[in-house]
Amino acid sequence: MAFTIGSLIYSGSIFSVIIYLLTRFSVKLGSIFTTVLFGLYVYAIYILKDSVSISFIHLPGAYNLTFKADLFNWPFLMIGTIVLFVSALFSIHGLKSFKSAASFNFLSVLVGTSVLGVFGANDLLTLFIFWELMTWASFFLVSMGKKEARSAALFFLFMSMISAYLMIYGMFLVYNKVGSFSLDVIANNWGDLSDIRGRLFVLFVLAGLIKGGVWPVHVWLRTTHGNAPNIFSSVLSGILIKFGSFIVYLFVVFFPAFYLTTKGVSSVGAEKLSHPILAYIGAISIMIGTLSAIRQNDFKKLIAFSSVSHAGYIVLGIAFGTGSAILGGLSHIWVHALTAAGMFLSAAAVYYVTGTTNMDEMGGLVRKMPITFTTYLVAIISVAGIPPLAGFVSKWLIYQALIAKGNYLLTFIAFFGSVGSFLYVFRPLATVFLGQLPHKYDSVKEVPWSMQLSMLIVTILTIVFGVFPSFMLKPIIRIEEALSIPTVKIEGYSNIYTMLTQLDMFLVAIIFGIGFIFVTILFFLLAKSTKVEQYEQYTAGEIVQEISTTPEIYHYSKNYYRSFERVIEWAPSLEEYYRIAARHISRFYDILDGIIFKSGIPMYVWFITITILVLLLIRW
Amino acid sequence: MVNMIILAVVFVIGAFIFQVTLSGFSRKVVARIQKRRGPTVFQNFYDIGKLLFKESSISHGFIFDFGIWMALGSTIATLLFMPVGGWALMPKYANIIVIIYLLAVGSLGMAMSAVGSGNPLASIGVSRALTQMFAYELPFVVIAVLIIYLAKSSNILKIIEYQTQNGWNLFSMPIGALVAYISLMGMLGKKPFDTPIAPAEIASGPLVEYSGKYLGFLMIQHEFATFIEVGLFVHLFMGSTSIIGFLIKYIIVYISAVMISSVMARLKIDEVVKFYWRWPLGLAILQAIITLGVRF
Repeated sequence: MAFTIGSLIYSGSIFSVIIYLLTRFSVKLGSIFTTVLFGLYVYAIYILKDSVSISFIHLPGAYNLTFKADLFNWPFLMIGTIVLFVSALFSIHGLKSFKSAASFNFLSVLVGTSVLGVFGANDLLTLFIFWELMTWASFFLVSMGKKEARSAALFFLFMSMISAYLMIYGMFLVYNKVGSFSLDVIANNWGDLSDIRGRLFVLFVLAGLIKGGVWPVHVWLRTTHGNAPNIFSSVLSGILIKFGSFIVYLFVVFFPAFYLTTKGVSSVGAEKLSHPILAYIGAISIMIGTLSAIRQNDFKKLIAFSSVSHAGYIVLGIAFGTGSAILGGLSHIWVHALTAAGMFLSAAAVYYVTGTTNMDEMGGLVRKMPITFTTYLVAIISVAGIPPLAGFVSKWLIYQALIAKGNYLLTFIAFFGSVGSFLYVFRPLATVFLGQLPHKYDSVKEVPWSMQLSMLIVTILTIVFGVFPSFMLKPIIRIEEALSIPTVKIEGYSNIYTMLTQLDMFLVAIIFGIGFIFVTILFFLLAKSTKVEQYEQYTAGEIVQEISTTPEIYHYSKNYYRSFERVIEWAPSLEEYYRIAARHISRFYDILDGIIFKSGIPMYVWFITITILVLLLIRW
Repeated sequence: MVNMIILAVVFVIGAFIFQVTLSGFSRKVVARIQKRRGPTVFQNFYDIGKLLFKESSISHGFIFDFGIWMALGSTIATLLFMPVGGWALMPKYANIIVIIYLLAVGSLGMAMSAVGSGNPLASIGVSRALTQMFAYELPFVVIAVLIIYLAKSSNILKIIEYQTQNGWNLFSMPIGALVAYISLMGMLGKKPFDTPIAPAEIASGPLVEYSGKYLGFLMIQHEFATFIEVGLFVHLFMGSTSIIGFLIKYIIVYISAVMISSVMARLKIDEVVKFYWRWPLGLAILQAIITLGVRF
């Protein structure tokens, strides 16, 4: 059966209503249907792998929505549908005790279709329509979350609006010039757009950065993730902020390189594709995200800031412009989609059993939730870019590109984000999963099977893409070859060659496995150890009664990195400046308000008269 | 294949004997500085043997055990990628970035196991150790990047080859060598950078709950990690293909670090961060500007 993006979106919009009604009837049934639908999406996109499929949705007017799935957007579609599927699977049990489950599933399906619509769009207008669909669906989804979710959702909507207006302006600029919204037409005429290219670039890239959560427009991520429903956070961070990266990819890599390729340029090098300012914006985003994440006390806000940092890696990779950097940046989209899903799903699982995301209140949960712990552990090893997992491959490619150009400043910042991530990812591991288990969680159990299964899928994919990176890299290398960007060579499933060196991830994994197994065998050959209870601790000779009665006071979790925070405390906060600016603007309007409205109707009339007179004078 | 395995086993055992003897010798050096006689050179072998074969040891659950396997296992794995002089078990894959990151798995395993014990002193130690890692890695990375860029390869063997042609990096970038040496002191956890361990203050921090074979495994892990870290410094700044030459330079670097550390006092952890980010990082960037000029 041949699927097209168009038919998938059709089926999505029909099923969204059916799923809404089914969920009203039974939450589980509705979620199972959503899972099946998204599973179908994954399958359909997978079999579209080597083909080019163009499809339409006819609208009543003169305009058609056009879609295309080809090698240029296949990686985005694939990873998008995988994350959708995983989080839908998670929601089968995860939506229990959720008040508005029916609307949640309905909106999730809409978000699912918008993922297909944005990544699979063949013209800017279609892209924009689904972009907005996603914004509105997420707006309602976010507002279903915690207490302060309404204001968080409004803030999210406000930021999305800015990005939407920038896009609209850009779209009509293009339309005036080339007379079409079609991506192919724009790509083919990219060279003739030189007079508006600068403006276009700023408009669309800025729109992308806002959606992508990159500094200096990352401020919505903290409140949105902090308050959004936990299951939705994994989609929001895994896929929806990748829409921003997708736009950046289109305008920084795809259009220029495609144009040059059609003009017969045989090798599109870094000098054509690199955007130093954008790369530095990515770099600042890495630093700000890392330092802010270290200071968070809330599990989900911490992951939100790690998303800021990783969005920075993506932008840095794409904007640096060499083949290896673009490969690293685009594959980091895969990596981060999976790891963000893994981290947010484990946070959601923890919330499911404890009812909180405040890290200070938890501890020792590994005894109760081994699968959740494993998911989190694998996700953070990947986030920190440690071999043999997927995160290492993409970061390594970015490092290779930066070092090959001798750009020590950017390399330094890339490593800064990586080493800094050890700090922030370890904090939930230590304070939530390890340490002393408080008595109030004595009776909690591991989450139900569907949630475990979905976390396992994410974990296995992260490991597979790490040990056999070709699954992740080949589709992206195919893009680069089609755009005649000189790229890295990959041999077999795991052997990567760059300018500087070669890397065999499978070999690294094997050596690692040998070391691990050898030590484990040695461990069991030696005398058996005695297992003790968690309250049997070395307390320097003191008898501490509270260890067995209130273990939480014997758990180091509050202000985990206080001493480090003391070092960076002096640093100014951008959010604080935004707040001050907002206060000043609102005060200015208060004054204006006081002059015009508060002083009574005569003044008001007077102002209107003056305005009309001025308008008449300048004959407008 | 069989050849490879035999070589690997010989290499690991050789590195073990060399480094454990050397750290026994370093205890003697410290003792002489403090006007003591000190233990025998083989004391560390006795210690490790005693701990490994002790009949009783305490476990705090699965993560406590698992972290130990991960720590020692990955450190041995890292060691297998490490060249000695001009020789390496897998010459094509002696990649410096892989080695630095694979070593981090060992630290992560140890940190996980230590925090898994549930002792807050261990947690405090780990939080300090991670902070210290953040502090010393950054200056080190800037210098490592310079060397990789100059040698046009991140393969350590190529970096050694570059130095045999152009002279030691120690002479061509002395400031960088100084920075890397200070970072090395932090990696090894030698005073003044032994804040994560701080025996008198937080009861050896991460090590507080370990006994018997667990402590034995961690001692072995520490010796291997030391071998990798000091070896990395020697390769980066004093590269030559001779194995004997490597060992001699290794002894000089290691013993000098021990001697410096024996006359230092411990810094507080925020002082460690401030120090590393003010002086070594500043000097590292200065070295980068001297070598490559201002680059954006």
